[in-house]
Amino acid sequence: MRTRGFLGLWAVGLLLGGAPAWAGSSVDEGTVVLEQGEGWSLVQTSGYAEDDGGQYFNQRLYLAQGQAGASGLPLTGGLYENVIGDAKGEATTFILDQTIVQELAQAESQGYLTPYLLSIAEPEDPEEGGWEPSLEAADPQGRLFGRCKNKEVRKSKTINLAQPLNLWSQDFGGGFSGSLDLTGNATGSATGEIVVELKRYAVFGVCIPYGVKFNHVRAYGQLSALAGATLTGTVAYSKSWEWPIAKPHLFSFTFLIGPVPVHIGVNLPITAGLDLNASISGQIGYGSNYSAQGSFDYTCTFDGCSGGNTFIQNGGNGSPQWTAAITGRIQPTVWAQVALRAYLYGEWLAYAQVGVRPRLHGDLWGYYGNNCGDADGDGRFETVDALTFDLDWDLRITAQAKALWWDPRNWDLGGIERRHIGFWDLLEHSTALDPMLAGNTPVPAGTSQRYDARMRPCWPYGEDVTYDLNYGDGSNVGLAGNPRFWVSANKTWPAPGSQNLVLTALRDAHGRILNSQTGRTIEVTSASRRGMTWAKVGHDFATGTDKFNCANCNPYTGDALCTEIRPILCLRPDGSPNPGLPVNFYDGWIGGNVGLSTPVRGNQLLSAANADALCAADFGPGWVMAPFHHATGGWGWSSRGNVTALQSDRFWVRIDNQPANCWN
Amino acid sequence: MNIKSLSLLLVTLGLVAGAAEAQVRSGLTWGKVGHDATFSTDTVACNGCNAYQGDTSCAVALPILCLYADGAPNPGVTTNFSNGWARGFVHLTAPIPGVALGSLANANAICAARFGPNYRMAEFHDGAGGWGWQAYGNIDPATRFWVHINDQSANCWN
Repeated sequence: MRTRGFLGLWAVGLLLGGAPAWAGSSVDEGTVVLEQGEGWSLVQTSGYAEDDGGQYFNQRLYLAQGQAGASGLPLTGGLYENVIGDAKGEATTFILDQTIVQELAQAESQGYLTPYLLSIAEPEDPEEGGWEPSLEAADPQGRLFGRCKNKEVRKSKTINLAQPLNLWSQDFGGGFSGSLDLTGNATGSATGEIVVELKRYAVFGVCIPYGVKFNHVRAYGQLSALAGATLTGTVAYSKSWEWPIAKPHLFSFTFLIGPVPVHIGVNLPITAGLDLNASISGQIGYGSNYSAQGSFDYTCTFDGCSGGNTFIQNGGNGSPQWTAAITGRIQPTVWAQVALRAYLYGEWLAYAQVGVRPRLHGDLWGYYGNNCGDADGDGRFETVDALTFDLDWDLRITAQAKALWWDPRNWDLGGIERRHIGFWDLLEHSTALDPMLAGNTPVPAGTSQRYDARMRPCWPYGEDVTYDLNYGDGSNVGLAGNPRFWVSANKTWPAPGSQNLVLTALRDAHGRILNSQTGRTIEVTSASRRGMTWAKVGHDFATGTDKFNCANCNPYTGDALCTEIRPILCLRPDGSPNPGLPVNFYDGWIGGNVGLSTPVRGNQLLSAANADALCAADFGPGWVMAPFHHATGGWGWSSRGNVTALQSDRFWVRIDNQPANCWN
Repeated sequence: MNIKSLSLLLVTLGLVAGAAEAQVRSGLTWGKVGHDATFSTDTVACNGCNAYQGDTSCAVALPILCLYADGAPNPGVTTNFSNGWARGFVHLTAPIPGVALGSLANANAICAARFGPNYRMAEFHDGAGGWGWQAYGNIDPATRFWVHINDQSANCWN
């Protein structure tokens, strides 16, 4: 069994907002952690804000997440209520200026604003109109602390993408030794937009801007991705792997919202993954090329995303050639993902991302053995083999967000449901794909006969299969059903003869093209054919012998319809001498023992040898179908036995010199 | 090649799994000792059986020895205590697992269904003595078969 192949794969993704945990005190260029508690940190950040003509800054900021983080900050009563009241969920992330927080505490303590607070104070909101309403519809601080609503600020940037997808990995460990080679590119354009809100505190008739709250990020644009992947190796059991391929930096900039410096950035994390599901140890290897393109538009907060996409698959091909030797199933799924990730200050604080992840689902099935059914109804399980490869694809839109103290949160935003690419028979002909055809032979003409079709029991898939049953007489019938259960058709043969039936498994509902056939010959006999039968006519108690004879039989053309079911009179000759019974030409002696077989339809007696074999199967070696003739005549004889048959019971007996048997 | 090797491995594993089945009791079996071609009679006997606890796992499928004791006179075979005359006719059923016998009545019914209402499961003492006896018949000599015993707990249904 030798095969070898290729499979192609690509993936694209876009991400916005969220952040990985930091370690150590220096978390980003220009930012140093000074102090931290549960859900909050104090950082020193310095740099240059490009907006508004440019401005250097060097400030200490509190970073807090949710009510739990905010409650750990040294905030005075009014400001504390302002912050807590705006922390609507665990995910809310705040950035507060330490200097302003401290001066607000001092101002409230002394009863008037400090000079610094006066320098940054803004007038309260007008009674009507004024600030555009925040995306957060109802702002509680407008009621509780005067008219100082949050002030929404949007920043966005559009970038052109031309990113290579390159991964070569080997020696995976964890049950898989081999290599994954992934190459391709992702092109298109994407816009990352981040929306934050300036938080303002109403005090002494003015609004003091003191911090920033993260609102949401939005990513939109279009992407096209093309990739090819080759996977080879030996797998022992199921496991998943994920690799970062690259994370190119797209842009970042710093701006001041009031007195608060805000730094945002966007990068493009590219990852690849392999999920292996193996039922048995074996070798795998495949490759192909694939592409997808489309547009996307998603808006994400730390609690989830909304939006949509129009991705389609574009082409896609596979002509897998394999080197494989397995008995079982190995199902590798290869994916790559390109994501657009927007972050606040740095990924360590908060980021969110939207990613596009195309996946290729492979399914390698191998079988060799003789425990996979009897396709042609000859009573023997055929030795069959199979090596097939099935390939599906789908596309997922993923989202991930991380804020300060959380592990990343992941969402599946939908995408394109799983679709079929192709099904390949990797052998010249996988005989385990041949369907099973059941039905009696021989059968009498003029009587409805049932024929049953299904796939062999080792066929691993469950989708309905469509069959064609060709009766060989110019007629055929279409069948369909679950591959694990029989589906039936009825046929009445008009005349005797041999009929060559061919059952073809055409395809299944998943889209696998099978075109695999099983043929068998059905013998149709005359509906009026008859076979000879005899009866037991007496038992001699003293000698332990039964007497049988023709009893109005027809030894020339038969007397009982061959469609009838009767026992065979079976005999085991042993040459024992006549114990003293009177004999003549019509009433002889056969030394031996007699017995009745299990009942059998006359049409199933295919020959004298076949009938003898049925007797031997019931009673043991040496037993045969009893004959019309004895050593010195015919028509009747005695032998040792006591079959419990009524005078009216008749059983099949053979005759050698007349066509009065059902097989004649 | 590799595929065949793997298949053999699977078969081996299957056999090992089969051997790990739960323990079941044993039942009494006899064997055919010989056939007399003068009188067309078989001799059947214990022939290494265990008449007290049974000798063969009741998980095994073997034929039942069925007897129609119609009182047939001894045609002339030599008899003694352990090789008597059972006064009738014997046949073997198709193999059936010992655990499926269920009871003597059920085993008798299996014989009757196959060979007629007068046939029943043969018994250890059907030859007047025990351990072996003769009857008309010519059963398959290649297999041992279930025989019941009426004064010991050596049957699969005990």
